[in-house]
Amino acid sequence: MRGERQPVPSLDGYAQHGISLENPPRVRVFELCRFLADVALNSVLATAQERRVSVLPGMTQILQLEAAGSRWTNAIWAVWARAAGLNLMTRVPNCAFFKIADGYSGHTQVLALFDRSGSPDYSAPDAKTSTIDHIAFEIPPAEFADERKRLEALGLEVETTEHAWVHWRSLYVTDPEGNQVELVCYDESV
Amino acid sequence: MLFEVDHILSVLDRCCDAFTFPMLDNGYVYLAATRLSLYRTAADWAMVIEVFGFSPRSGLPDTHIHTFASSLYNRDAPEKYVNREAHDRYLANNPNNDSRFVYPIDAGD
Repeated sequence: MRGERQPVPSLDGYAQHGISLENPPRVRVFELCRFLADVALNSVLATAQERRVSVLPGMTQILQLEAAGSRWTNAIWAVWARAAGLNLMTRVPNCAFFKIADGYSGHTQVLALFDRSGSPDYSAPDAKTSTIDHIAFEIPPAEFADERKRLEALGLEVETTEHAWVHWRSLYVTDPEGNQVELVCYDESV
Repeated sequence: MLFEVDHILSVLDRCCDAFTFPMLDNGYVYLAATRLSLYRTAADWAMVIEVFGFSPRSGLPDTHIHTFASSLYNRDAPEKYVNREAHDRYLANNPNNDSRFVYPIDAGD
């Protein structure tokens, strides 16, 4: 650490928020950056001395604006990255591309989320009127119970349902905009 | 007069044209946080933009400190350049802007 900057939180702190430094490392390092920006902004930005390194001595500071990304987007992102377990392909301030699976002819199958909450005409989607109800990802039946515990450990409210007509057992979580993510497995006993 | 709108905007425009103004949607840097600070005296102005993010190419998250000012302070000495000509050329091409990096997360943190 340099200068007067406060130390970044310990790794134990990241684990409490469901963040680990497991693979894929690029995504995890970036996730770590976003996390630190949210909880310890002054630890990751420059110290006052570093900030003024090229500024003439004696100048008076007249304004300071900070932006640690959008907590709205982070909350949405957390559900899709951590709950659904999707790998982040790229992220810029107002959008995130997650990989769902390998595609064909070089085009990966992606889920793209765009933060339009800053738009003057923005209104969050309403599940009651939207055609799209949910997005489902398959999990192994043996991992159903562990997945439920994992989701609850992330602080998410988890709903469960059984679909007898197709022998599916489902876990549901919802992102802050109301978009529903389903983790589903085939279970003959259902 | 250095503290005039036209002068300030001309400096920023020139830096933008030279790609030395920070681009927050830079595809090579995954942006995590930014901060803008303004400084002034009666005659001079300075704007500092900090950009904290992660570039997979660099390997470690870093904070890029961009400074734009009517007059700059503490510029790198000629010894930090490959030769005197490179130093002089840099100063001539970048009279109102400079940048530094700091690394808030050390390797192994």
